[in-house]
Amino acid sequence: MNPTYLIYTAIVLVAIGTALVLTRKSLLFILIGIELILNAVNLNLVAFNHLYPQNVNGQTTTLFIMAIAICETACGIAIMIQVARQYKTITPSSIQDLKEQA
Amino acid sequence: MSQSFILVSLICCLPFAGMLMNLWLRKYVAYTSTFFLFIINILVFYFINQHETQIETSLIWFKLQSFSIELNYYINRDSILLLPVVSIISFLVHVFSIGYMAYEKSLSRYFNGLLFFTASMLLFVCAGNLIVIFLAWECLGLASYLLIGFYREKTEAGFAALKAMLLNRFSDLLLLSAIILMFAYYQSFNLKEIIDSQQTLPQLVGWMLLLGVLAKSAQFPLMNWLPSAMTGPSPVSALIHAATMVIAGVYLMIRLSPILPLSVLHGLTTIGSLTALLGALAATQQFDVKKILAYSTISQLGLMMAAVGIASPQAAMLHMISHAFFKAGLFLGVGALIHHLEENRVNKEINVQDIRNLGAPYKSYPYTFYTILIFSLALCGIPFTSGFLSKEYLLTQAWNSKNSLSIFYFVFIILTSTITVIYTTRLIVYTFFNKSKENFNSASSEKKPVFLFPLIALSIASFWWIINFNPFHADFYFFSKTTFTTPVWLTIGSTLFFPVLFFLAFRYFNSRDISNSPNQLLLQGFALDNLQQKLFVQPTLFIGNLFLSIEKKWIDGFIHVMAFATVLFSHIISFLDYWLVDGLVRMTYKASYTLGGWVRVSRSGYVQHYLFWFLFTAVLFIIWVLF
Amino acid sequence: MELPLLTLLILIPLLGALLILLVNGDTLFQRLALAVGLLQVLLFGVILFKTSLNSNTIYLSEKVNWFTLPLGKSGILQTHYHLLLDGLSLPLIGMSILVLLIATLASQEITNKKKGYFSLLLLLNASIMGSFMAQDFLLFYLFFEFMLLPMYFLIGIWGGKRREYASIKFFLYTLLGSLLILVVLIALYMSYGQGANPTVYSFSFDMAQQSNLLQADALLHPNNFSGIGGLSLRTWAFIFLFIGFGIKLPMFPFHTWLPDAHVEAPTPISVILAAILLKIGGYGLLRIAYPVFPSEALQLSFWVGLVGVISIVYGAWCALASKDLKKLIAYSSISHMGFVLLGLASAHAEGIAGVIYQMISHGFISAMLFLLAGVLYVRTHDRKIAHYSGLHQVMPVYFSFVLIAFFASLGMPGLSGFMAEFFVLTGAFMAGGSQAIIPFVFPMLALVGILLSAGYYLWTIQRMFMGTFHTSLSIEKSVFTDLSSQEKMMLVPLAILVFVLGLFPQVILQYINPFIEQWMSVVFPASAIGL
Repeated sequence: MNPTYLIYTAIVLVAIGTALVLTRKSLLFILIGIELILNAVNLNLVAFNHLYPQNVNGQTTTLFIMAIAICETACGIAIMIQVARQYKTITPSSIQDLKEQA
Repeated sequence: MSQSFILVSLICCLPFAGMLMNLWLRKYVAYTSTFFLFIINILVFYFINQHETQIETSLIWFKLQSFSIELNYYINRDSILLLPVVSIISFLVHVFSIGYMAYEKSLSRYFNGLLFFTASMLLFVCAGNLIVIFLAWECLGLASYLLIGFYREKTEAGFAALKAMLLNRFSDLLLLSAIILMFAYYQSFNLKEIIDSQQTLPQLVGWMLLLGVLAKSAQFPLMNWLPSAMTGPSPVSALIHAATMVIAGVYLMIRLSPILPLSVLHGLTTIGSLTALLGALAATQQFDVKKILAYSTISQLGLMMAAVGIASPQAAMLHMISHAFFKAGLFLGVGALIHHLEENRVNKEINVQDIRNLGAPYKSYPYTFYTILIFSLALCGIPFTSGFLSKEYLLTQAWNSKNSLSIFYFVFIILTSTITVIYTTRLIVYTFFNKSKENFNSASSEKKPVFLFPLIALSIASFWWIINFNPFHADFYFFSKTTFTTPVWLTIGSTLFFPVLFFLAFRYFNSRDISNSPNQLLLQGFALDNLQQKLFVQPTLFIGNLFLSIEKKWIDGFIHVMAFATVLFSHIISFLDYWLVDGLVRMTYKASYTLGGWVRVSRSGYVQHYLFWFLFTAVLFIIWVLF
Repeated sequence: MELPLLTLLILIPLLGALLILLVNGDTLFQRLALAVGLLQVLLFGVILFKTSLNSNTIYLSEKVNWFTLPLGKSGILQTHYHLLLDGLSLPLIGMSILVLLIATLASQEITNKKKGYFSLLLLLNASIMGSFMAQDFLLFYLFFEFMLLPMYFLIGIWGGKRREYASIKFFLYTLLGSLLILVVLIALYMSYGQGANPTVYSFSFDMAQQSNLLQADALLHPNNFSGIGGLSLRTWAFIFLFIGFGIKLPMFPFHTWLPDAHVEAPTPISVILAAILLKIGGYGLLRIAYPVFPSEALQLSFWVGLVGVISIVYGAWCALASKDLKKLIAYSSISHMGFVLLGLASAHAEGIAGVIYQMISHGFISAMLFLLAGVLYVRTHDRKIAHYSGLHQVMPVYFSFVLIAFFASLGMPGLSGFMAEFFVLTGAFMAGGSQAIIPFVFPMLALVGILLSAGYYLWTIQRMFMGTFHTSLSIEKSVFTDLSSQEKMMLVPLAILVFVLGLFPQVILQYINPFIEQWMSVVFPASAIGL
């Protein structure tokens, strides 16, 4: 399998993930997007490991990232549940407490 | 200090002592003043007897760096002749005033004025320093001003005094500049030094001097103050405006005649002759008695001036002396008549001075009539009077003189004398022989000695014996006996001509009523008043108002424009300050606000926007690091 | 014991002013001011006694080093406190003391804010004394400026209807003149103030004669030909000084502050303004402008004379057309001060004698004139000439004083005005003759001015005083009371002095003559005017 195609796929996945983060009107989807970016990064790392087999850093880093991603997702969902309780919505565009008062 | 110096100074200062005495003895003012004059007369005669003409002493009055003004006296034959004339006439006028002014209030003002005048005149006659002469000259003018305006309630008096003083002031300033220029030329103010130097004056200075004496001696263009000055009391007119002050100009010219340039002498002759004729002509049409006499004085003064002009100052001196006596007598006589008639008039409204109203038959006031007659005969130049002899002298000098204008002068004397006879007879006829008016009661006060004594004394002085024992030889006792002969035909002619003329004119006027339509030009004294008013007074006032409006509009206006411009400029500056300087500051504020506004857009509150920008910047950063 | 008499002359009014501010009591203020005036008279008497004992030209002098200020690269500024009393300042100080005393007497009519009035009056007194005596330019400038402040308030608070306008006009106008003088002061400092003996310019004559004090490259060095507009810097300096003092004199184009200030000021202030403050202009010209720049002054004599003659004639003509009595007298003051300029332009000793004599004589005469105008004003509050006629009937004594004052002002011989005009005319005629310093026509025009003055004064007498009594104001006849004894007490000394100065001019001339001799030898030596 040509690692180059894996890298391309990772890029496309990062793009899709960023797009999800930036444009979806639901916090859940933003979290999904973040997951997608993380997984794309994992794919990238594995692809690079395939290119340079001597260096095992790629695969180990992927395992680390997977673990951290799970923690992060758990935190994210906890935050989301709190936000939903506080603001009664999970649409980021309706939470504008940080807006600069003109 | 020589005795003569003290004597002359005493003579000049005694009137001031009289004034002080008047302050103390208010009730007897008239008598104290007369007494002082009497003392002065005695001193004057004593001084003349000593006949010391060279008074060497002089007191330094003040000195500057380059000159010093001294008080010294220059007594020559002319002063010795004039001094007793002044003092006698002044004394007689004082005596007369005791009676004439008996019912006036503020007598001390009057007598102080007379005393002050006498002091100035005596000083003027004797003084030997040009500045002292000028001081005395101006004091004469001041005394004249105060006495013309003596009757302060009368508006004409105020105007007359103003006119007199202004016209005199014009001449006086020219005289002052002539004196200063004489100092610049001769390096001295001392009269004796100037005359001894025998240098003729420069033309300009001579002409200034001529113009300087014109007003005081009432010569042609500046003569109209004298008729108006008749609003003063009659004794004042007698003293000041007939006998003494008006001759001051002639006297000054006589004193300075050795150094006058020829053109000035010609000018004197011309102006004098012209004045003589014009004055006489104007006198023929007047209705006011005193105005007739005033114009007559002007006329005779013209003759005197012209005599100086043909280089016979002696002739002028002689005529001056004889004229002083009979003219003062005329004024006093007429004054006495007016006084008597005012007391006795039927109607208080009648103007006693108007000869159309007079109807006093000559029998009611004999003394007054006969003395006035004697004076008038002297004025006309009838034989056996002093006037005849002095006129003879004038005619002889005019005929004998080598001067180019003397024939001209001769003719003028004849003409003037003819007209003199005419107006004098007119005066006498209409004053004393007008039978038709019945305005007056009979008199009682005529015989008072205060009135009679001066009149009789002056009439005695109007006969031929004061000039020469021989009534037909016109030579004065005190003149040095030079070769002097009157042509026989002249003597015979004047002896016959004037009395015949007098007789004819008397009959002429006696046979008709006074004409009520006089020649207007002559009546108004050749409209000199009007002319001066239009030529000088009105333009001066116009220019004054013009200057004042220039002052307000332009000069002050300029200041106001400057002030306005300054305030306007300061408004502009403050405007610029607000908009530019402060504006810059405010624009900075605005700019940073707007900029901040733009930046603030990114604080939208949308988390995803924040994320976007964060990623965007991170990518840019990475690209920048990598490349 | 050697009393510093001159300093005392200045100090006593200052202390008096201070004392007035501290005490209370309505009549006390005027009495204090009178006491100060009398003390000054006493001091002046002592000074006269001392000066009669010696025959120098400089009578009294007090000099102390005042302050020294290092100015870095520009040198060292060293000023002295130097007061001098010589033949010029002695008669002027005498006149000022007397007029100030009489003005204090005349201040009876001031009824409100007396405390401020009298303390300002005494302040004015002190600055006048200082101006006449100071010899150091900076000290002189200090006193000169200091006169403006009390005058501004005195006119502005206690004056007539348009007093604010008049006082600010006066203040700004004279301040402008003072600024021009300040420019010349600085220029003089920069030319003389460096070198071995740095001083701000001092007026003692030795300074004028030591020309080696000038640096070669100094601004005002005679050989410095860099000029502006074709005139050398020295000429400009003289012109500035001339205009600066001329505004105070006042001279023709810059005189318009005078009628307003005089008419609106209260009577005592008018008296001081006319009698003293105008003379400081003339004094400044004599003391400062001419000795410092003599050759430029000689070159510009024509212009000085022209301005003088225009002032004489223009002032007289405006006086003729005036309808207000006080304005008439104000314009006649302008006219008389023109004689000062004419005398200065003549460059002859007689002319200068006339200048000084005119300043002294006009001081007394104008004091009298304004007091007389005030007498009428205080009774009727109206000064229009046309409203009165025949006043001799109700106020005869007043009329006699008016006669004396008017005749003195129009130059009647026997009174002081004539002497002054005679001297000036002599100088002017001699200057216009062979030497042609000024044209011959100038003294003739001055004569026109004198004739006009006779015209307006005599006309005013005839309009206001002669004839039957009538007034077009709606007041009763009893308002016209004759002079009170207090008014007589003010007028009689002035009248006596006017006669004395007219008949015995030697009284003043004995002081002036030595001064003029020295002044002429410095300013117009015989070689310069072509004698």
